[in-house]
Amino acid sequence: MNNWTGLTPMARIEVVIDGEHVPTIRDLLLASGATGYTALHGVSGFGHGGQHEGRLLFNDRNSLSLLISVVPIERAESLVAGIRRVLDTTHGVMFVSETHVSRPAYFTPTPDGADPG
Amino acid sequence: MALLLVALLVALTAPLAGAALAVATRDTRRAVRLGTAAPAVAFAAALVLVAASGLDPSAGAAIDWLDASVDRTSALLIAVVMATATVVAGFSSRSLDDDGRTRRYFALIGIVASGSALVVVPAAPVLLVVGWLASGWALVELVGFASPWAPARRAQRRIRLTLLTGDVALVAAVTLATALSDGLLTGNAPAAVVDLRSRSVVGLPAVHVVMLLVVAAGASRSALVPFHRWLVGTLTAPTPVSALVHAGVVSGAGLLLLRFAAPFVASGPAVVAAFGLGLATLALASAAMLVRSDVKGTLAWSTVAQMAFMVVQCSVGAFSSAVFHIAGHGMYKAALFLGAGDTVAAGLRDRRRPPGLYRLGRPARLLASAAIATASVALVTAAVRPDVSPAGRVLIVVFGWLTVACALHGWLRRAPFPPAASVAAGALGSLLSTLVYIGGLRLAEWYLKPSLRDVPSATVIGPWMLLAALGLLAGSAAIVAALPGAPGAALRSRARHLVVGLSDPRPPAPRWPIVPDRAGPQPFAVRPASATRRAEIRADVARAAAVVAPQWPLASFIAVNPLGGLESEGFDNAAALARRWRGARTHQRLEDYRRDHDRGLTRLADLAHVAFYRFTDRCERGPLAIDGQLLYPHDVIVADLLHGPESEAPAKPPTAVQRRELPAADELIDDVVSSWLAAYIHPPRWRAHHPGEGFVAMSRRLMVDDPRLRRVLSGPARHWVRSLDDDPAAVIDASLAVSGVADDRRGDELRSHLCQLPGWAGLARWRSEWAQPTEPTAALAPLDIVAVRALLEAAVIGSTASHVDPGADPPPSSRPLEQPDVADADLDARVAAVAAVLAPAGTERDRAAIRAVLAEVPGASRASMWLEAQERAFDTRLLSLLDRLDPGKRVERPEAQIVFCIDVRSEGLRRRVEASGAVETIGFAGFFGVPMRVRKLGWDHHEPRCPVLVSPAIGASEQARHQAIELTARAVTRQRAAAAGQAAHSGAKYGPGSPFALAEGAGWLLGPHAARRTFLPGPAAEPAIPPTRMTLDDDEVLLDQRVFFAESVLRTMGLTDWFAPLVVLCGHTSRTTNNAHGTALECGACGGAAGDDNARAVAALLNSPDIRHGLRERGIAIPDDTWFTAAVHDTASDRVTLLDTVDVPAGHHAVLDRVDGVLKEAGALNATARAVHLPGPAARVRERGADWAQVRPEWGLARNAAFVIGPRSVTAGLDLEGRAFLHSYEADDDPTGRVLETIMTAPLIVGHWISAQYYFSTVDPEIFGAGDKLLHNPIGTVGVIAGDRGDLRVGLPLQSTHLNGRPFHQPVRMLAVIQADLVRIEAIIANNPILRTLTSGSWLRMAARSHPHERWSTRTASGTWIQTPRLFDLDPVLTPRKEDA
Repeated sequence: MNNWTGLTPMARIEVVIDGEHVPTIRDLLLASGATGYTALHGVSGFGHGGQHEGRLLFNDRNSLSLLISVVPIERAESLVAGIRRVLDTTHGVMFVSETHVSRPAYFTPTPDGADPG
Repeated sequence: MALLLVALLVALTAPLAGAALAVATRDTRRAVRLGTAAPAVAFAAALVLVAASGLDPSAGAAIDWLDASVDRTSALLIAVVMATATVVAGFSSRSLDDDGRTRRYFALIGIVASGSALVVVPAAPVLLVVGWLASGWALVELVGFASPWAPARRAQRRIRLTLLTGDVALVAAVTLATALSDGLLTGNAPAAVVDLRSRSVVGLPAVHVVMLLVVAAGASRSALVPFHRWLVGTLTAPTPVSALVHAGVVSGAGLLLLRFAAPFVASGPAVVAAFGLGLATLALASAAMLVRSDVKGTLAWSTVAQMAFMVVQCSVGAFSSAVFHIAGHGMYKAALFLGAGDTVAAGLRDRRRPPGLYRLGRPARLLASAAIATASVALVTAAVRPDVSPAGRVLIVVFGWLTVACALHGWLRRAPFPPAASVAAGALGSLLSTLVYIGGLRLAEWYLKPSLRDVPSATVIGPWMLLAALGLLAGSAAIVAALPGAPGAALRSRARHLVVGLSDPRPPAPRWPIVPDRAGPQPFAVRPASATRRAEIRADVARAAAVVAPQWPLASFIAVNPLGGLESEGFDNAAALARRWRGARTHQRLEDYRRDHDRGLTRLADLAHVAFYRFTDRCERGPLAIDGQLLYPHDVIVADLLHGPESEAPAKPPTAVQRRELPAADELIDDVVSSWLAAYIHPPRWRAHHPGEGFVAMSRRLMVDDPRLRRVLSGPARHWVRSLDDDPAAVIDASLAVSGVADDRRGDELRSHLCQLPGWAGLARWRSEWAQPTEPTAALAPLDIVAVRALLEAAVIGSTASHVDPGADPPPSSRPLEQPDVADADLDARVAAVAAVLAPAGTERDRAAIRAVLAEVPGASRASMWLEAQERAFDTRLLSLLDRLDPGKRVERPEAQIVFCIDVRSEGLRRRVEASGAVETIGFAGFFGVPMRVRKLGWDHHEPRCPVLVSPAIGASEQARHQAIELTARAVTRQRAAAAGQAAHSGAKYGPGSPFALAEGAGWLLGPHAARRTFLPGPAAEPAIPPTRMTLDDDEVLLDQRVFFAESVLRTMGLTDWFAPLVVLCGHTSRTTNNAHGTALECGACGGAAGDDNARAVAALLNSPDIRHGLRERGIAIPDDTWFTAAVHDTASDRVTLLDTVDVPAGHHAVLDRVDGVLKEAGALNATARAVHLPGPAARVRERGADWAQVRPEWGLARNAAFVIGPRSVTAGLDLEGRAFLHSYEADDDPTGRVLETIMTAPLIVGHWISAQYYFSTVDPEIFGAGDKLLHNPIGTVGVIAGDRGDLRVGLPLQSTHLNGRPFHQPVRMLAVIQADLVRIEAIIANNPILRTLTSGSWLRMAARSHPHERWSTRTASGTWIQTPRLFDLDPVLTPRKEDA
């Protein structure tokens, strides 16, 4: 706890990716020790893959999703490495930034979670 | 007596004669009829014998020169044998496709039947031997009937060897018996026994030697220890063969002991040997049955146990009980095997039944079961008084008691009534069934007494010895089952491993050197993997898993694109990757394309066009002079297409163990991992995994102790496996290190693991990526499968001497991971073939000119040229048919509108419905726009009823109508009772010691039932329409949301005005029986289930006044006199049932009746049209669904090829032969284009998946398809394996895509035909990456026209629209119908 607001720094990872690959990212997040994540489905946008329409009426899989998760900084490295690997071969983007949280214990997995190694 | 003589001769030889005639005749259909009629004739003759011997028990020697006579026992047994053979032959006649070997099949059945009959009939010993050998030989031939398949060949070899021992023993025994005595088998038994007693062979009394040999022969034929492994190997045979084996041939021991009854009883050692082997086998097989997850495997071990029981019966002298058992069990097993396909449907039915209402505590249940069973058995035994030896009586009482008690226990577990009533009903049931069972046995004793009078009824095994032995068995079982704590768990685990090891057919002995305690550097150094490394491995596995498609469980089969994960690569690249990585065919063989060409599916113009545009540079270089003619380069290429030799089939790249040349290791690893997966996903009665354990943890634990791996894993290897942790990624890292796989080859290695078990990997992908959160199946991910397989491979590699230290170079003999693409057919061969056609008298220069052209055309590209040509021909035909003026929108109100699913099977019905007059049809996705989860009457769970691309958004439940609450409550109670009955049956099937009496008794009911199902399938029962209503749950979702649903349904359908007075929402289903892949025929838009629930719920929604008010506010005014109602179309029988008709207002009854009449007539016409393509009598086409022997109840979506989006006027009246999906769409009613986008991003995608599934299942039925249905062995409701072991089968079964060995479905990529503004279509494609991928990757072809008076344009992969040429020389028919070449 060493910053101007008195909050704890953590790593914030946001991934915009096709709905098909959401399970993979989810799996990586949880395996790397993230205690949770937020998912927004049916987001629209424009990028290297072209235009992306938003939410489709009868299709939840072929639109983009935004996944947001906050993890302790020491766990960010492995998670980022895994997501980078996924993005090597699929369209999508990842943003990693530093953020601050008021309840660090909330985002830190208990000792029998995945070890930092 | 002449009658008896004739009857006996006919009974014995008719099947043989039938066999001979079947082989001799040329016509397959006649052979089939002969093959089925011959055993039936023999059965009739046997009935005559039964009647004759029944009337006069001393009907004596009928055929003197054969010393043959007939008594009650043999008459009864012959009748049972022939009945079974007839049922099996009848079943086979409808389930076997004609692929040239059918005649041989029926001939073999005839030989088995006659052979078995010869074994039974008291006659000259030589006949016994002949019958025994003949039936054994024919059996082995039948087991290998699917012989191109390697597992069938292997099974055949093993079985032949096992049975040989028995054959030799029998021949020796009979020779000795005939040499040393007279009349042993032909009527003078007591005297013969005296003779044998007095003579001796090799120092022992002859009678003992002969009988021990006979016991050995019987043990081999009936799969007793140590010959117990062969029976489960017969699962590689088609289902009817298994039925025949288990019903007839396998009871050889009992039949022999019956023939040799007198000397057997006289020979103490033989009796003790039989008793010992019988009991040991009983114990082992009963346990082995409990560790299998597959249906047929369970049945096979059950049979082994039953055969052991039969031998025990003989060894205590209860011969009439043994006859009762042989007959009863034979019929029971035949019925169960033939009906194995019902497993999936039965599992679904059971899951959907209401749970037991009143739970009795466990102690109460046990007490009640025990008490009632004791009372029933005591009462009935006192009343009926069985007339067997005391030991025989012990058997009857003990095993009868066990069955009744276990059945009762099952019944009480799901008690459907209040406790007292349930107990009372159970008591009544048990009394009745005990009476039937013991009464039946008594009847058998009385009936068979005259023919067994020479046989003493007591042997050296007395009742106390029997009780002691049974007590010992029961005691040990109880200790193993009930010992508490850690020692108990360890004991159970050891016992389970023992059972698995003893029951598994011996794996091939490793031919590679194991180094138990290697000196030098240990390969198993454990280095912990960093979190980063583990995350990377997870990402790599996810990427590798793209090569297998998610596989839905059979409870809700969904057609998917098998190369779905590779869609972004484009069709050609994805196909190339599939060929390289999976060794799969991605196109038809050239001979299939050529055959299609001869039938007119392509024309020379199409071939020339494709050749020209593929190799434009070459073809534009001008004509060549060849053999005096002027030929164009594309002529040369077309000649190669038509006459060149085939390219080689692709081969799968080798795995790590294959690269190290460890032969058969792969097979062992795949077998073992598959068996663990089966035990994990569908736990058998005796579970392997501890609650809460994941797959990796369970497998690690089993790997260390599995007896199948004992000889291949060294001590250090096991120690290493134990030391790892459960994180799959860490396990993979450690395993790849031991296997010597460098990081840069990791991706390929992971992919290779998944490609070895693509079925299970696909199921894992479904479970981890698509399954609902409430899915009860255990959690499984591709990561887990790779981890376990890699771990086992590494352990094997590390145990061998050929292990290579990591970092060292791979040995020079190891092959590269990737194979080159399909090897090019030899260029010289192609040149020669082309030259032979174009320039037969040509010179070297001509050949050189041809070579110059062909050198630039890769051999592997010919198949894709054919594909394009077929597609071009189809597109041209379809677009020519559709190339006519659209008469415009409706101008008057139709009498009725029927909304059908877009499914291709609706097309024929819609055409015929419209032909009747004022009924309009609309096409819409079968879930009718509301993605819901449904809870039907009595269910305690929800099931999704929407396309898998959407998550259910709202609940719907079925409730009783006000006026029918009691009726409905009674229906629910009936379901509860049915569930309890099912539990009783399972309880008896799997309880300790309980299956024996069950099989004996139930067989007499199931046998005739099976015969009826085979010969009198009867019309499909009209489904009972329940007095319920289906409504959306309005507490969960606000009114506004429901109005939104209603609005989107109507707008997407294009139905916003001109509503008819009656609008019928018609979902579809397919009612079939005994069909493991039945859900593949159901509505894919409803998640692999029937569409009637959606139809009813949405109709109720649209009738609701609140909803209509809300719709009016949003601009859709439904007239007050419009009524929505529901219906369901059974595509197997083409019967449409109107639902919820009581709700229809009185004023609409006339229209409703008219619509009902129209639908009936249209259904009949449609069925007749479909009958043309289905084998079998056309008159019975509508009953195919109810026929349990019918492997092809309907063609499903076979021959689908196009998806039309536009008003019905585009396609009205045209005969599209059931090959097109039809989705209604009015561009004028869609100003923003949202509706078109909805259609193109959901139903069109689903259509593409279906098209791709049928495509790939047709071109490679072994890898992308599930193969022959008759070899399928269901694992719960999850999937099927083929034979007795191995990977799950994926995709569609062979019978859905092929007919008589040739493709029936035409594998082409789907053509989307859209009537809408081209600019709008382009915008939608540009906005949706999935559509970009499908169109630019050539997965989907597209044609469109902006206005009805425009010409159709075709879209190229790069996005340009080209107007299609109008062709005037085509017949106005979608598929040319030239005769098969």
